Order: sequence, then C-alpha cells, then structure tokens
Amino acid sequence: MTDPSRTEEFVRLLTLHQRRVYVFILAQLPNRADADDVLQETNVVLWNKFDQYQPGSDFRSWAARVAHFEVLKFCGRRRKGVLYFSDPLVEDLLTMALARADELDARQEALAHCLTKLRPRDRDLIRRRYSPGASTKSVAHGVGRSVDAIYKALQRIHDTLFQCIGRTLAKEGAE
Amino acid sequence: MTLRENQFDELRELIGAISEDRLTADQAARLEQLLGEDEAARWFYLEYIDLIGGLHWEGAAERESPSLPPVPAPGLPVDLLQRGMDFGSRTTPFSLIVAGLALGTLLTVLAFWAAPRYFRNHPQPDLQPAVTYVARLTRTVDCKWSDRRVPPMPGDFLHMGRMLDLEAGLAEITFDSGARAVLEGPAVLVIESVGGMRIESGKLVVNVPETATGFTVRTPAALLTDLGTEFGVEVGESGATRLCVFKGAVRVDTEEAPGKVVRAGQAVHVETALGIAVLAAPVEPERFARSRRALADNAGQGERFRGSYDGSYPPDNPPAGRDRWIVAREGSGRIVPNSDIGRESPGVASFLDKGGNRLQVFRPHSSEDWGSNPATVEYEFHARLKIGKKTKTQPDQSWAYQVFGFRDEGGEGRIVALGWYYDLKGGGPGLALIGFSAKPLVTVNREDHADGRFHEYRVRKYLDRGQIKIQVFVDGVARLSPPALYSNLQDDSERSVGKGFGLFSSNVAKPLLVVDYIEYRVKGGD
Repeated sequence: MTDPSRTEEFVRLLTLHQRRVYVFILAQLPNRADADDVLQETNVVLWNKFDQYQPGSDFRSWAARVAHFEVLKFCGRRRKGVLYFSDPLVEDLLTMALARADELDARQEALAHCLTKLRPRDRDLIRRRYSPGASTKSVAHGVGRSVDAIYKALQRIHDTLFQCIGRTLAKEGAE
Repeated sequence: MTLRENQFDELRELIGAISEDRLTADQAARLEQLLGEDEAARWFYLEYIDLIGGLHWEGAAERESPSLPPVPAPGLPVDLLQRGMDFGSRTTPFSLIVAGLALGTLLTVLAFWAAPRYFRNHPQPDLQPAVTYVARLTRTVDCKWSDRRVPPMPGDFLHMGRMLDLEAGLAEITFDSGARAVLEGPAVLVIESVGGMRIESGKLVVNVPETATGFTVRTPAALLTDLGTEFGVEVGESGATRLCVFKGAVRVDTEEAPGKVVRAGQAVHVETALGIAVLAAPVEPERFARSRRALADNAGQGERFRGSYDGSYPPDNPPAGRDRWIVAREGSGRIVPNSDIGRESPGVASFLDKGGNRLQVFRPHSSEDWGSNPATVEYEFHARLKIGKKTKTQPDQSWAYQVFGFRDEGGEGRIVALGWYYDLKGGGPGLALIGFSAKPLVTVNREDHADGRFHEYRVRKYLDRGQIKIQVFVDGVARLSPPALYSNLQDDSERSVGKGFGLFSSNVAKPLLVVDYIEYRVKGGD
C-alpha cells in the first residue's frame, strides 16, 4: 500500500476501531496475552488486505470478521481449549456486538466517568490489576492479601462499575 | 426464556471466572448454555466483557507522564525535541516539521481523540506507589517464568515487594547490599528489602559478603539470619525448610526455637507439620550443587550491566552535587528528578528510569552542563522479531532503536525503544504500528526477511564526536549502518528538515503508530 491517502485512511480507521476490535477478541479469547497476540495478527491482516477494503463500507464489521478468523486460527495453532464457545454462539455474539456497537461505545465513555467515582482504594486496586503484565496473583502479593480476597474485591468493583455505567447511561438518556 | 435474577448472579460468577481465565470445562459448558438460551444473557456478557476489556485497554495506557514533552516525529533526534522545549517560541526544526506535516497533525489529533480518556485526564499522582529498587536480576539460565507476558529479564531492577515466580531454570539476584542469591525453579521468592528476601517455595543459594552481614531469608517456617556465610535453603510445599550452611554460620529463628546457630558443614530441617521443630539433618550439598555452580561461575556478572546504557545503577561514589549517576561504557550520564525537566540542557537521549525519574544523557558539547566532558554513550536494545506475514514480537521484548519512553510493568518498568523499523538490507523504510502497550502491532514491508523464521535484531546507537551513529546487528552479524541520516544534525539541527509522519497519543511513551521514517537533510549543506 503505497498511496499515502490510503495509508492515512487505514491509520484513521484502525485507530478509530482498534479498541472495539480488541474487546471483541477478548470476548472470545479472555486471556489477555492471547488477545494481544490476536490483535497484532489481525492488524497485520487488515494492513495486508486493506487494498480489498471498499472505502465507505463498514470497516468495523470487516475488522471484526477478520479478528474472528484470526481467533480461530490462533486457537487452531495452539491446539488447546482456549476458545470456550461454540461457533454458533460466537457468531451470535459477533452479530450482537456489531449491531449494538454504538451502545458499547457509550458504555466505554461512561466507564471513564465511573472510574473517577471509585473510592481511592478501589481505584488503586483496579490500577494494579490492569497494569500491563499484572495478574490477580501478582496484585495479591503486592498488597499482601490472598488471591481469593483480591478476586472477590475485583468482582465487587466490577459490579460497582457495571452498575454505575448503567446509571450514567440511564441518566444521560433521561436528559 | 428470560433469565432469572439468580441466573444473572451465576452469569456474573462465570464471567468473572472467564475474565480471569480460570473457567473450568463444566463452567464453560454452563456459560455456553446460559448464553445460548437467552439474548439478554448474551448482551449482559458483552457488556461485562466490554467493561473488563475497557479496563485492560485503559490500564495498558496508564501511567502517562503529563510532564513529558510532546513526541517528535519518528526519527527526530531527541535533543531536537529538547531544544524545542527549552527555547520555547523559537522556530525549531521540530516545529517546522510538525507545521509542515498536515497528515501528522491530523493523525495526532485522531490519536488524541482515540487515546484512553480516563487516565489521560486523571494522572492520579496520589495512586503512584512509592517504589524502592533494592536489587537486580543479574543473570538467568534457561529460565521459564510464570509471567509469560512480561517475564523478568537480566538487568531488571527489583523493587521491594517484587515477587519472582520461577517455574524452571536458574536466576541470580544481586542485592544492593552485595548479597547474591541464585534461585532454582520451581520457586517463588519475594524481595523484602535491601537486606532480605522471603522464599515461599523452592531452592535458593545465598552468598553474603561481609558488607551485607545480617542478610535475612524468611521462609514460612523460619527466619534465617546470615552471620557471614554461604548457605542453601529449600522450602517444600508444606513450608518445611531445609537449611545447609556451606561457609560461616546462620542463625535460625522460629516461633518456638529462637536463636539456634547453624555452622558450616551443618544442616537443619525446620518442620511445620508437628509444630515447628529444628532438627539436625544431613548436609547433602548435592541438593544445591547446580545453584552453587551458577553462583561461583557468575562472580562479577552484575558488572556487565553497567556497561550498557540501560539506566543502570549509579557508581559507588557519585560526584558531589550529583544525586544519581549512571555510567555507560565510556562515558556517563545522570538521572535527574522529574521536577527538573525544563531546566535541563539538551541531551541525546531522554527517557525515564525505573523510579520514574527522567534520565538524560548529555551530548558532548552541552555547555550548560557538561562543558567539554566527552561523553560517549552507547545503549542497546535487543529484540526478536518474526518477520513475515505472522510478524510478532516476543513478549516483553520491544524492538526499534529510537528511544521514546518508558514502559511500566506492574509497578516497575524498563526503558523501551519505540519507533520505526529500518529495512536493514536496503536502507529503505520499514513500517511499524505500535500499540498502547508499547508493543508493535504490525510490522510490514519486510519482504527481505519474509522467511518466517525468528531473527534477532540489535540496534546500537551511539554518539561519536558529536554525531549519532547506528550499528545494526542481524542474528549477531553486523550489517552496514543505515545511510547517515543523522550526520551533522547534532551540530546544526536548526537547518535540518525532515519528512514522514507518526501518530501518537498524548503519552510520549506509547506511540499509537509510527509510519515511515524521517529523512533528514541539511539545508544548503551540500
């Protein structure tokens, strides 16, 4: 791809949809390191095949399909049960994720808001857990608590955030 | 069918398990069933995974450094950037380049828009834990770490509280106090302080010089205090501890039997199953033979990390008035606190060290600071790339040769080189897309190396008599340096121009994308 305007277009679209594609991969492949790898491979394919992309068509849908294919390839290579769901279910999830992508985008906006509402201690735990390379186990060691305690604390914080996102969107809807 | 309230609870439990990658086969089947039966359950799943994914995404972009300067277009020597900062409104090459790069500007705006918002707008300085580095990982042999994503690497700084979970191999740790330990996997160890560690399980051999007498090794069953010695420790699953003393003596304290001194040639077994008891045991030095050999073979290995520019330890006697120094192979640089950034003179390299300090290496002619002090600084980065359609970096090993920033890794970090990629054979441009996690997303235009094999690339960039020089090694073989793109820029950067573009978030350490490389030429310099 040597046309600078096409490169620019690719960059714009990739940037715009990267996060959504990542989350979609994560929905099929919950291990973060695996999801990162598949995201890389997906981007390689997107780049290599961008000449086939029709300007104006749905890049997000195309990228999601490519990502799904890369997930399947990844799981086939690894030859282990890293993929939890059947193909029909994944297809259903993909269809729903694409159909309601705007709602998911709105949820991400609300998440940023809700993170600010967390108690400092909870925020600190979230920061520790979702730092690159961190795991529940490493967080537990870092703060001197059991893995189970951290796991439960994170679940509670996730619930808090989940409810906050719902409230925020409902409030915005009412306004 | 509509999910009942308790089924949502169950769903939440299952999603929690899947997001931690600990879903059992039975749970997976149940989750499949719940999701397959009900559209509301599928939407709930997507919402929840979206939340988790969003946190991962945000987390990867966390620890942005608001005080860091804007990023130059790729290829721009960092000292140009520094000039741009230091001289404010002066028309700088950087500002000229940026002004001329409409595409770059557009992309930068896009990147800013796309960058994670929460962490950008909320630096949360109060949440930054105080990290104290007290040791380094000075050598690894055939190591397999439980953390596959960001495995520890030789030269890593180790902070207090850092856990090392070694599944196999040997890892040498050198404490600031001078104590050295070789951990033999499988083993789990926690760095407690400059004078001690805790071993949860596995084998350890410790050598403590006189300067570090009093070094402690805590186990689930006992506290072992060095009395000037070399000793081996083995901790079993139950926490039972075996101590073999090879030289000197070790004091063994337990809750029930404080103060027992074990001397060279003696061994004890601290049992936990029947209350804590310290029992005499056969010495069995062969149990620790491998670790002891590694310890002996590796004397002084820690020094070699001072030889490459990786933000290494300050020398033993920092000059008066200099708080922290680093020493490179033939020169020196210094570490300055973040708060001092704006007041520092231009440097040829500028990034953060593991303590969050800004690290600058000054160029030789910087009259503001170094006068005529001839600093020749080298720094190297190692990477393994698989070139071809399935391009991929190995976990944790970044490639490229332009230093832009610092990668945080769960409370500690390392300097990473981020940027673009040279066509090492033809000198033409390469292309790299670099993600939030400082991990190249895409590398292409690598037809010359599209053989599908892994290649090791090392790019050495160094300063020689005022000029940046670059030496590239592919699979250990030196290649011809790329064209002298940087020649003379150091001395007359005001007249240089460039082209190319990049895409960056507001975080200097995490370019979103770097496409192409900058070509420089000197105006009127023919």
